[in-house]
Amino acid sequence: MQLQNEVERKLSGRMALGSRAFLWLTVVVAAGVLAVLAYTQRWFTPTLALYFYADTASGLNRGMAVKLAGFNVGSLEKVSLQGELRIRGRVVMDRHFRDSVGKDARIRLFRDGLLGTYALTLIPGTGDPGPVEDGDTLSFEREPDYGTLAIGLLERAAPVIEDLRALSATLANPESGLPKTVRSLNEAAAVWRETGSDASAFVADARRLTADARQLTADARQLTREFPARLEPAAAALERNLVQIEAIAKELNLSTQATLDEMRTSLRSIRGAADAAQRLTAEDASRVLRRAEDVLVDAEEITGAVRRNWPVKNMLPAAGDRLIELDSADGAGRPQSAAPAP
Amino acid sequence: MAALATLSCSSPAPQTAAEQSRDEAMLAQQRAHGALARGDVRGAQNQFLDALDRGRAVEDQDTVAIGLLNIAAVLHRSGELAASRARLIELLEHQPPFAPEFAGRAEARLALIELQSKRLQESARHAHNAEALCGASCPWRLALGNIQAGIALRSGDLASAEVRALATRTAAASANDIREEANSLRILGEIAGERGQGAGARAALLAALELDRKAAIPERIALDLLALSRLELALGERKAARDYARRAADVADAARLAALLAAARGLLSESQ
Repeated sequence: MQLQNEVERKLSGRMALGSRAFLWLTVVVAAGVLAVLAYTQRWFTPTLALYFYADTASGLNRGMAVKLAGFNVGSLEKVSLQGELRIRGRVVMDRHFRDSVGKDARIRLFRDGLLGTYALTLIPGTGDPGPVEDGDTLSFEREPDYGTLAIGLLERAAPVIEDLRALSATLANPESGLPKTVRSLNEAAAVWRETGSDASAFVADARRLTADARQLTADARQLTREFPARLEPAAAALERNLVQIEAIAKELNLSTQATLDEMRTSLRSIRGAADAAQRLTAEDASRVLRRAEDVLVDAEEITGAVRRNWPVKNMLPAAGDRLIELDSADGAGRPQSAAPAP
Repeated sequence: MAALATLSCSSPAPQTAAEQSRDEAMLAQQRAHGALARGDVRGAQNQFLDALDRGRAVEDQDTVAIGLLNIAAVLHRSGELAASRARLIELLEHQPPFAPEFAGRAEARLALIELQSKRLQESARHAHNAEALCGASCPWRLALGNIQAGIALRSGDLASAEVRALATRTAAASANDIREEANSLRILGEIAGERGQGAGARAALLAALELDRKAAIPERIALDLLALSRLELALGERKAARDYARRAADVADAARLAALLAAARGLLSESQ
């Protein structure tokens, strides 16, 4: 009996020791797993928070990557509405990269390739205001697209073309333009001849002046003929390229929706084709835009110079500042979004 | 003479920075008016803001005042009364103060905004200020006359409203201002309607419609047709009301005036 009790006591002691060891091991393993998880989730990674403001949250997603020179350095942690028409974004960045980002850096939203997702990238500034601190606010911008640039260029072209038309109409006007000036000079030369005075020198000068004026008229006519003609092909090429860009974008969108599974399996070849298409349209569109920009700048300089020059300056109506005058029925037909005044 | 001609045809003196800035502001204004003509209100607003910024950068008071007035006008016509009001108050509170020709326009537009917001006392105060700044004659005199007629009408003083509207109509006709003449006729039509004078109201509104068609302003044509439809409905003439409402819907649909189209469809349902 005593032996039995002795055996039982020893056995239960060993079992209790084993259970305790197993429990401790379990706790240590669990703690180790938690620590590894925390490390991968960056709980121990020192970070700093940066803010930016935008007018719309379009394209911004919580958790989207923040890159610096192509490397992931953080993520977009929060997007919140501030007031009525403002969005505030909170970006969390590894403190390790703090020295590479200055206070004048910008945050840009861009699309990674034609089919890629949106991401944020940090663009370093040009000054030396020191590295960012926790809580700093950076300026936000969106990657411009060629459609917007082209529309801006067309808007600039419209008044220049209007000026060219007005100039050519004024210069060619038989009642007040250069033809009338030429006629007046001719008449003046005839008067001088008739007076019988020593007008030979004056007549020669007037003839030279008449010839100069005729040349000026011919040059102006050629100018007004050529520039719209030179501008036309650039505008037509621009329009064609915009249509191409729109068609490519539409086709890519449709094919993405319709064949999403197939695209996943053949993503590499599609990415290659898309990158090639992007390079092609980017080069083509930028070349046409640059050419159109050059022609536009030339045309603006010439019309501005011609407008300031005499006698054209006196022939053209003053541009003036155009006020939109009050009409007592203004706003009558629109739904009104007025909040009561305080 | 040859020397003079040669001299004058030589290249112009280089522009100063101020002249260049002014030219750029005027170009922005030109683009803005072009955008307005195309119906691109947002684009026009951006261009006017650009012109305003350029004027502010060189403290060109006139450009700043014109920019603020134009932005306020565009906002007002888009129905954004609060934003328009803010710009006008900014103009009136500007230091140094702007010239009376700009302050007067701002007061007159504020009077109209307050009238449309049903704040009659404020509207009357701004109208009084605009009248004081107008003097003997000013570009906003006719519009101000109609606004004051509108204030009297909304206050229930039909007699004063009629006197103002008739005087403004006469002045507008002699100044060949079709828009304000039509606006005066619309107010006279409303006054006649308030008095229960159906025939008089109809005649005034038809005359306003004729003028607005001559000026080819779709929004005003639709407003006149809607007013005629409401008048005919009040007089019990359902068929006539339906015809006017249908015409108003066609005009509003073609001119993409969503609010007026909705009003016309509402009247069509009412007059069924």
